[in-house]
Amino acid sequence: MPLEAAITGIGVVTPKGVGRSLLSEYLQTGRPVRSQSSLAEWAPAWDKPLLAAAGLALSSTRRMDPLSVRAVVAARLALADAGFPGQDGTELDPGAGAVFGTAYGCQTTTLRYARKLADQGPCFANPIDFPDSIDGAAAAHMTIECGLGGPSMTVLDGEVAGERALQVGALMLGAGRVTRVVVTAGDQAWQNLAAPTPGLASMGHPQCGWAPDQLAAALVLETRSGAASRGARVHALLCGFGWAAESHGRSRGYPSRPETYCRAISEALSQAQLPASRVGVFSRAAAGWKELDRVELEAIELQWANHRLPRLAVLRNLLGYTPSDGVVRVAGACLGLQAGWGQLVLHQGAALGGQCASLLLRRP
Amino acid sequence: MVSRLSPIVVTGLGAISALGPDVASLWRGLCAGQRGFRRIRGFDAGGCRVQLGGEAPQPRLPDSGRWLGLRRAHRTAAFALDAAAQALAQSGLSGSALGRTGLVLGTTGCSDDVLKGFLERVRRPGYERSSVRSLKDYAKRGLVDSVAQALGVGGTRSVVNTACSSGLVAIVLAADWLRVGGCDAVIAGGSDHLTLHTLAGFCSLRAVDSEPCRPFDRRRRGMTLGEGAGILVLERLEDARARGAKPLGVLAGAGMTADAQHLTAPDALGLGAARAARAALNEAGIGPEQIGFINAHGTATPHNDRAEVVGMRTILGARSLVCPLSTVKGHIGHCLGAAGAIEAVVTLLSLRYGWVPPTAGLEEPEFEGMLDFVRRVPRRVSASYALSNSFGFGGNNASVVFAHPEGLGAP
Repeated sequence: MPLEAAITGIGVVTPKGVGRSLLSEYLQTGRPVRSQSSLAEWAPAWDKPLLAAAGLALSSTRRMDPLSVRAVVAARLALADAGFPGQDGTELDPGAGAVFGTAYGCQTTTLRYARKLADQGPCFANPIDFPDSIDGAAAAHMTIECGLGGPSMTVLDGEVAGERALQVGALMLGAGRVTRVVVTAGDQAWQNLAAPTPGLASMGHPQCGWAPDQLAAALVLETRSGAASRGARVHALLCGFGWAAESHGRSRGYPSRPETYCRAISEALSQAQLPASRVGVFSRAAAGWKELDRVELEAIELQWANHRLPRLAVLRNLLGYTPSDGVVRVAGACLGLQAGWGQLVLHQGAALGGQCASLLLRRP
Repeated sequence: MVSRLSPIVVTGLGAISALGPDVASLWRGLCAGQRGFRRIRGFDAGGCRVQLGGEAPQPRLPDSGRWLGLRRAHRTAAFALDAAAQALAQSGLSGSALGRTGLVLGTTGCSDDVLKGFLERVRRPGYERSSVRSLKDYAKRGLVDSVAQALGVGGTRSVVNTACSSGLVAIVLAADWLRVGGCDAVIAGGSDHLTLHTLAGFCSLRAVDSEPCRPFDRRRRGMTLGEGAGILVLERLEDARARGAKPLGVLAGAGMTADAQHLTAPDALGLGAARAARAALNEAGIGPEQIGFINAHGTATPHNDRAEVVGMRTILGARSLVCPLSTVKGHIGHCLGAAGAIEAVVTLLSLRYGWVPPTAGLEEPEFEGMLDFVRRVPRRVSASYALSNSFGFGGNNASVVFAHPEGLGAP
């Protein structure tokens, strides 16, 4: 059964600033929007200008995990972009849902809570940190700060958490449980992750150009008819989802066979009832890891063996690598469609543990 | 659009809880009024205000090589695997059919050992590296990756976290996947194990009782935490019939809402809970008069029980005093991410066998005259539909209507 959603709002939080226009400007001029050298440059999540851009007071966010803050800011910006500027939590909309995707959750608060538990003992467990350490805290804060009274969910599918969150949002719309849904994804980057390790050796290498980062993004999804009825601008249409997995187990890497990627791609195309030849741009999952990049290229060659290859886009070159960056990359693909990427973009995601996701976006 | 044409049926059940290693021991224990609480032995809870919990038995995993890796993984994955193996065995799904079988699990926590290992690597003086292994262990997606590998499940997989409603929400997501044709069957449910991390946290919130919990009782002072897993195998009805599988129940409708008020406290008027229940009834195409009984969330915290009672009275209206309601948390404790899924298993068993278990620990009802609480002994019911509720931190509310398979008619 086809699953479709209209993207009517985009909100982005980056080291260079916030908002759809900023992201569009950077991508169109080919400038990296990611952190340039070190994570120390990254503005604290509760930086006043960041909060002011989303109409949030410091008092309402100072106890939130930084990831939650970025999720709420991105959600508010996306709702404003979609034409819901008054979504400030004072009125509850029972028809508005929230989905949050993350690979590692609210790490800052979790580790602070765990550290205190380890150092001082269970009697000193912090009752303020404990609820904010739960992975679902960011979604909860989104519902509170944006007045979203419909279904709320957090998905923890590693590096395809963003893609999964988009699918879940589209399912909520398709099932009629919501009239609109805010889908957000993000992760915290740790200084420790930025240092070279055996498995992450290629990341952060000056030659490869990718560095761990901590972008967050939100998209507002509505049904096409719902968006049309209120005269909303539609950035793009999500029109196909495909998933495939290998049973690697938690210690293995990305999908190792190009056929796995092809299954996901074929499923997305089949769901959208579109042929591979119509894909104008393939937005790659490539992240500078040889294992992922090589197999993904083989899959592209296999899938388009009888057709002209689509143009390849590697948004992580400009966005950096945030584990659950599916939503921010889809936001980039929306902007690409508006800037001349053709009619149809295939967005690819892939995750450690062997799962991959393909999403199709088309111009409205 | 998500198709409403094909009913989603349950063809397999699995559970592990403080009452025993499988569904049969769970059901026997509930009907006998057993309470599976004891002093916690799995970790040193001496520093906590409460040392009581509902610990589940060791999961039963074969000694074959494919599963050995899971022994080293944390207990949450092992519980999930044990329960999933039970459910798959009952459903009869195996071999190539597992290639298009999906997996979605709800969970809330992180293993103490995994967190401790990650913390040690992060905080070591002068050490700026984080082992990839510990990072991969820390990622919750490892739960479904491990279970999928052990079972040979090849379909898409996901981990969801909506706090204490995670297990039930995972089941709802699985049904949606089936309706859009993403999989031919889905193993869905929840799993969580008792950790110092969680116990200390709830103790800090004064949300746990040092004595066995007393849901809906005027003397209630909080939860008793538990652990375990509950798993359902879900399929489209036509697929189940085509391979000769027997439906154990039907997922007739689901509703999910957010209170959007507070990170931990529920809406005092139970409005979010009522909206979720109403949405589930609407999706199932039935009215409150058709609900045979309610499997309540019933954590025994002062706020949650009150909010649920008010919410369910709003839904039931004139039937408030004739629709039986009970919770199993007085028997097995609050199993967090597994709670909603274990309670879904119990709800389906109640529909099948025609008995609603009593609410253990309920001796002096605070809400006498407001709802029909099942107390002391199981209650005979003849129900076509039942409602199961799960509510979680962050104001997450989920309700599911299950239907008796008799309503499906002959193939």
